[in-house]
Amino acid sequence: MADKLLICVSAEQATAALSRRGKLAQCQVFRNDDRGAEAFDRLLAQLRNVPVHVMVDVVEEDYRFEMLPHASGRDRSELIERRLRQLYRNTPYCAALPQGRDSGKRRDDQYLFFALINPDLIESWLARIRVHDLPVAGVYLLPVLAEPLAQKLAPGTPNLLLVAQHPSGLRLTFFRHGKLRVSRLTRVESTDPRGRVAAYTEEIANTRLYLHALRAMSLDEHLAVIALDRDASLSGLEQAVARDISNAQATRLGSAEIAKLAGVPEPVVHDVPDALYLHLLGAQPPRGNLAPELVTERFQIYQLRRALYATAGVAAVASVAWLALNAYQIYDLRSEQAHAVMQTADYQRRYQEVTRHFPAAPTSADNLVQAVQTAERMNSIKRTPESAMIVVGRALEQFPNVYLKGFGWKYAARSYDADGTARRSDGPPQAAPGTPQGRRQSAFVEGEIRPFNGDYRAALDTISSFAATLRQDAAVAEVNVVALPLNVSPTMALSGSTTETAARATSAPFRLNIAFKPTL
Amino acid sequence: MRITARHLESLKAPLAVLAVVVVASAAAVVWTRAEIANNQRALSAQETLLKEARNRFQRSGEERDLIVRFLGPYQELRSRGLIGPEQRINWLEALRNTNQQARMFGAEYQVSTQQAYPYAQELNAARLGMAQSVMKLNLQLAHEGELMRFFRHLENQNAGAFDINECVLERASAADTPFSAQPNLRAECELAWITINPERVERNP
Repeated sequence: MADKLLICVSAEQATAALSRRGKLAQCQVFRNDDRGAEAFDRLLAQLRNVPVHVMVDVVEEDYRFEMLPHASGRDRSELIERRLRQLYRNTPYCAALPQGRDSGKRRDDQYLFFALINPDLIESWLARIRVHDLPVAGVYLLPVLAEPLAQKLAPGTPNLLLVAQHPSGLRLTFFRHGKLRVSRLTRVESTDPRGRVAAYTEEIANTRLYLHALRAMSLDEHLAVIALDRDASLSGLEQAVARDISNAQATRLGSAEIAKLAGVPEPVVHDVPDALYLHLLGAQPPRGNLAPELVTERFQIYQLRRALYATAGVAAVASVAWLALNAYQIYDLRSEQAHAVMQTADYQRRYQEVTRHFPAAPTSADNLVQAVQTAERMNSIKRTPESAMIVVGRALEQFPNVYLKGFGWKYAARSYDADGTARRSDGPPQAAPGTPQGRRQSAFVEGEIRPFNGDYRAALDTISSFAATLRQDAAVAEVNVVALPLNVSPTMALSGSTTETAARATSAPFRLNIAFKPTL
Repeated sequence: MRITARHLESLKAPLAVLAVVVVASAAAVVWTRAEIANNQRALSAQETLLKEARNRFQRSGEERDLIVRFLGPYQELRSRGLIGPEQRINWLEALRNTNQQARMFGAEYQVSTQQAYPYAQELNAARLGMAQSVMKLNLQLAHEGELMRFFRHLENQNAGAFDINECVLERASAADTPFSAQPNLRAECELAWITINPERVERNP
């Protein structure tokens, strides 16, 4: 399938050829009449989404070589745009190509401004293309496309005039140091070979004068003339030019030489004269597009569509590559896992084989060991009230007037002091909340001073001494007196009577909380 | 070039294709990354199992020695009621026997439901399934020395292992001179009957 449709439009006809990857198919010629238009429509109807490149070979063209102050970027674009609008008010088909820098002090930028002066010449063709919804990539002047051809045919030639017979007439294009400077198309009526050579020579001479008038080159400078003589009909042109035009030398190139020097397939050169330029148009991205944005709008959308599809393609390829990498990683991991499963099963089988000869045990070896060691630890930390009773008994022996009413002992994380209660609450036993840490022994002693004759001072002294005796025991960490016969705290109210007749208090109760050291 | 609604109409198809490709690609990549993560986790778990199996196999000789060495003491603990399910009937029989042997005035008891042993962590035995049943005992004693005699008798019954959590003694009468033939003290004690219930681990993996 073709990737480009190339069209060369002249006043009389249009030459079209499909191109695929730079290879040009057979050219078709469509006359600028109804039959030609119908045939052109038929060609276009066969195509879908093929960009169209249009080349124009007409007399209604203009070239101006000008210098503008050096600028770059947006300033340069605006400068060129403004100059184009000034030069070509009546046509949207205009463009400019940079030609280098001036050698003067200002080093101005040199530009070639060119335009298709009569847009009507191509409008009918473009309208047909639009009807078939094909994107127009650009509209170019034929001489602009001839620039690379000239550089190949006569490289390094300072002043080159390329002469070729086209369907619309004789095209004479002048290149200064390989860059297009001016081109003109003229009609040559003579069909007689001798007359044609004379006419060509005359047109070359006229062009030489024209160039001199344009100050493109002086008459003293040497002009090299290359004539594309595809049908070998210009025999004697070299001699005629040498004879009639001073400082000029003509060279005729036949089809084979053109094909060889330009690197173009020979069938293309043998085809219609426009084929060579169509080949150049299709082979490389051309410069100097004349078409305004309105004409190429559809092509820009076409390019955007292609870019989007290309992006989607790249994304798809990248993701497929990524997925492939991931899939390989998954496969690798699964293989490793399968290998590990096999190895595990093997070790388990071997372990099973070995343990078949073990003594029968109700649980695992670890549990056996841990259970036995736990039982040993339980025994080592087990506590009874006996030690605490001995400590309290030793102290009581020194205080015969202390009458023991109650004794409590506990081995828990919370001591009696922390509990703040004298007795456990009645009712069913409660589970210990959470997981307590660091059990220790504690005790309480409830007693009273007997006999008691109402001497609170003596009673309090006895209780203090008793508490002090307990504190001196090596196994005791702390003793707190939590209740006394008489509360002398300034924070509490106190009442009583000192009369003899008043009933005396008959007991002096107290309570001590004892915390033991962990070593007990 | 300025993109208009008319242009968007032309770009609808490639935009849709691009969106589908991007979404599908992203979804596929995310899914495969998740699969990789899952497989990495599975491989890591399997490697742990492999390491355990290898270690277990390599330590099988050592394991045999441990079984030979600790099976006897373990069975002994089981026969004494520490290891295995609770033997509440044995506890009550032991209480009765102790009361008779110690010639005491009787004991009243209340046993709670079985709970996790709260000090298992302290004993580094969190995975042994330790449990306790708290027993509240009310005893009548002639004198305080009978209390420890009672507990020693109870322990000698080998009906189970117990911890004494708390004991409170108080006089039963206000008389200064106690009599040996009658209860002079009331004791209220809290015991924790402890059992160890290790999981029955099959040696076959």
